[in-house]
Amino acid sequence: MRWVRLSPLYFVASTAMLVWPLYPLLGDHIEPRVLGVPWSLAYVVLVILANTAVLVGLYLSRAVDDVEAEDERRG
Amino acid sequence: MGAVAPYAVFAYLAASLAVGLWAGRRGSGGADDFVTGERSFGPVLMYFVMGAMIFSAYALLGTPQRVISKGSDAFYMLAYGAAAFVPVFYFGARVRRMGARLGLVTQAELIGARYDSRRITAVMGAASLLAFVPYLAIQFKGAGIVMHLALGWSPLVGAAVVYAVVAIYVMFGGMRGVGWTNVLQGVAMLGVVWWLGLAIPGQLFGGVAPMFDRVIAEHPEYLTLPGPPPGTSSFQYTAEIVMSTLGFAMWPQVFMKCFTARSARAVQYSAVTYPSFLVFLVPLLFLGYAALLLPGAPRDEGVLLWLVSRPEIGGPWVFAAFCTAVLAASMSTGDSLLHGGSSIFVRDVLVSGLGLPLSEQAQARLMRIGVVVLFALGLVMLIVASKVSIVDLLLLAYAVPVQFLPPVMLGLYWRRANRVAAEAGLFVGLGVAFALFLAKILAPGLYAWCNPLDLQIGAVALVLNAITMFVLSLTTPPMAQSHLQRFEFRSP
Repeated sequence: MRWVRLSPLYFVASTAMLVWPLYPLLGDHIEPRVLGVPWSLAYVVLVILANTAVLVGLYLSRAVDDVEAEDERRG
Repeated sequence: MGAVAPYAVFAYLAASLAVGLWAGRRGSGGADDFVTGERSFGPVLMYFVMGAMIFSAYALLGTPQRVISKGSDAFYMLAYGAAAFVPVFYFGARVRRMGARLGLVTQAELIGARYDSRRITAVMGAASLLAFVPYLAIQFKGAGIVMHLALGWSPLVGAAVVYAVVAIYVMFGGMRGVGWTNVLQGVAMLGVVWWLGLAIPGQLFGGVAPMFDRVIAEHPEYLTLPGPPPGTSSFQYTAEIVMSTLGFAMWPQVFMKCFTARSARAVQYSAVTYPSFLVFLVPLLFLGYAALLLPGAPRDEGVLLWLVSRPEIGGPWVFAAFCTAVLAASMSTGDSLLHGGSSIFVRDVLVSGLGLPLSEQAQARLMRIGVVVLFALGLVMLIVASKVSIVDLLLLAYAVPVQFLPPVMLGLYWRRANRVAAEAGLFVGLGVAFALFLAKILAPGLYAWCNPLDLQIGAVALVLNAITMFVLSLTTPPMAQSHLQRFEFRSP
């Protein structure tokens, strides 16, 4: 599946969101606050949550390297 | 303040020893059992093994310290964790399969086998050991601090006692001992840190939100880059995150945990669930900001202990809980370093590097001896730490595993990557890293000429390593298909 092959690019993009130049533009601010926490911290946590959601999706869909042994076939 | 802490500390050490020894009784006692627990770890064990191993005393004590000295620069520890474990999700299943099929138990063994090069195995093994020692000394230091504060012992004696306990359960429990004690240590760390991280801001300021109201009013510069003087530029912050992300999964003790899983899917599960461990850094950040708002807070790694020692916080039980959490963090990383280091020494240096024909039982015996040797080296490093900066040694330590990135990733995913390229790239990377490190310490003028922008040593070496490996892979013949098939490369 093509989207699976491209999935590493998502994680490259999410890491780019946490570094220059995107973090200073989008994340490195105090406001808005999320549950009282400044945006600069909440933003990082939100990226972590987004990454986790993508990993959960990949794991549950068995999309990445689901083979236990090389002679097994997916059921 | 210390009324409860001594009992808590001894109870925790006794529980760790009991769990570690009990877990080790179930194994066969050979080298495979010692190193990988006979590849039997299910998802729960993998979760705690990965999480507790990664978060050390350095994370517990260093995170609040970084907040109070550098402000939001401390968020880099969360930021790099966001993607650092993702490579394990992608390659971990494959590594686990190859390890089980080919009988491989260390990172250097796998990569050496991929390139059919014992030199690579030996060099990676030796470099790993060099990186482990200062990292181990940091864990000893954390344990020594706790024992000094809880019991009044000298930090050296305290560290020796704690790590004697660790050495015993690693020697006799092997990876099973490490795994099950990591469950105990992980529960202790997570429970105490989340409790203190939310309770202390609540007690002092009425909650996390009111605490940040005050930070915004009194110290807003601590919430965004560059932070308080001298400040962290966006470039420095970016470099910290990128280099940490690239090198994280290449740490040998992290990588080799792929071999301990019961199944390839269990390895992926540990990568998926890792972020739930990672976010325990958030309450540690809260504690840093809490300390920032109190007058007289130290700016060094003693800030968290200073905070929990304050009378208005909660007294002896809070202090005891905190001491236990720091011990747990130290031991959960230290046991992996002792275990990983001894395994790497025997399998990579003695068996693969020197070609010694050792039986499984002989290897296991030598690994146990290796645990004692590493324990002694850690103590020696702690003793000389006053003369040699551990921070400087960590600079070298972190530059080493990132050099494994090109041979590992290209070896797993690119059929053209071959022995000549991998050996050359690795030697260039490690050679440049060591040369720059020595120049920085011994000849600052020469270092400034070689690295005028003062870029991270590991980054400079990595770029040269990768270019060397890439160019040579394209200009020299690939390895035989019959060899590549063993590493899951199908015929083109």
